[in-house]
Amino acid sequence: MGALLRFFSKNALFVFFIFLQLVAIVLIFSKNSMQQSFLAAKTAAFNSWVSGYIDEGTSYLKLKQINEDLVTQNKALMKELYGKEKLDKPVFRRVYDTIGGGQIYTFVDGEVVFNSINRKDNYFTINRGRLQGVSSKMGVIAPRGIAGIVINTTDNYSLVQSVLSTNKIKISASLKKSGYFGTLSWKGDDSRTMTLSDIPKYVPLKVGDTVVTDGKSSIFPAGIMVGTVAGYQVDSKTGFWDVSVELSEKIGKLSTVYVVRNLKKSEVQKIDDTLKAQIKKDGQ
Amino acid sequence: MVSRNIASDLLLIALLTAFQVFILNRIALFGQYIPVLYPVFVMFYPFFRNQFQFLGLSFLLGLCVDAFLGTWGINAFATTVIAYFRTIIFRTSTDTTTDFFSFQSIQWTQFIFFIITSIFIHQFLVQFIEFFKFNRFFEILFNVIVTSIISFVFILAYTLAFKIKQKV
Repeated sequence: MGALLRFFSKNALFVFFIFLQLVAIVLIFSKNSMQQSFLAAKTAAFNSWVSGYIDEGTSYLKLKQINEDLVTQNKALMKELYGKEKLDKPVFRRVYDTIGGGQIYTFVDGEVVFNSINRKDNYFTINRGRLQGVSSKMGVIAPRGIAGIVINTTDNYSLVQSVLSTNKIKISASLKKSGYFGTLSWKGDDSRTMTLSDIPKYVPLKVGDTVVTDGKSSIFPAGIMVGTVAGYQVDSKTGFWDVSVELSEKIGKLSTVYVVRNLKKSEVQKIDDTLKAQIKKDGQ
Repeated sequence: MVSRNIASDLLLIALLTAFQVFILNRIALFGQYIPVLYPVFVMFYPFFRNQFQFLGLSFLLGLCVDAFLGTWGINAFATTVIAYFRTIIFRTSTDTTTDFFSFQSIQWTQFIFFIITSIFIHQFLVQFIEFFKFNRFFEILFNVIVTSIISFVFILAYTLAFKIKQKV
């Protein structure tokens, strides 16, 4: 104790310096999004690494129970198979690809291992990463609707920016019936609804209308379900509709998701780059 | 020169922050390089005063700039580092071994070297923490160097305008 006190009194200025730097580091990692997402990806990867081992351990303890379950199931199946007369044979169908077009999107399935919905910008982690072909800026969809966009990947895990993010997510979405498109964002209060803005006032709206993605960005394919119109009012500032959309996918209980890979992305990127070059040339 | 106390220091911090945030940050030279002037408070703070007060004020200055730019903690971190290591930077840029520090007593080349070293360390820390991508090291380093050079011109103009070298 005495030694500690002597150290402090001798190096008081240094201790004060370290104290100020610690305050700054805490601020850096708690207030800046880049550092936050880095930290979140690392902790999520560590978290799922540890819980993977724990799951493996507990599954060994459950083996006996699982074995018994399998035996009873096997018994029931055998009874079904041998104990009855066969009535109808299964029919196989074959589908011919008559269009013959190239494939644009492929999907990688994954499981959510960590999720949050109570922050201003939310993230979740999935157990697919760089080695499975996931990279950042890929869209993530769930069985019933859109879920987020990949922002960071490690070898086997990816961090996904959830659609419930107030500043980070702006998705182009359209009304299925009329085809008008607007910008989908989250206000930050209710995890079940998002807001669709920039829809002109003359577009007729009804509660229950379907909202889908429109494939204007290369992140989501067109026509992925987003949700249904739950209410609308005119935004007095802009004069556009302010539509609240009830999400069809409950982000709070997300489990299986699919990562969208756009096979034509580099090609789309290339044509976009020529546009940029053209604008630059015209500007000069 | 008016004798400096804590009130005038705070006033100077407020002025430098306002100048940095409202004027310099809107001058983006060549579209992306922002001159940085506010570390002059740290560089030319009088020697032989209360070091705790100096460190605290430097931290406060960085935090004020951060508050306006929304980069919480990054500028505060870098500014406190150059404040703490100022005497070491001073010693390495001159070859003096005495405990006597003043800007009057040194050569112009040494004075300029001191400014360049300080602003480079400051910008290096700020930009690397801000971008936080180590695989783009050289891109960021280039950015740091260009920003340092532009800032150096502004700081030199400041020192000439206020005759810093003759006073401190």
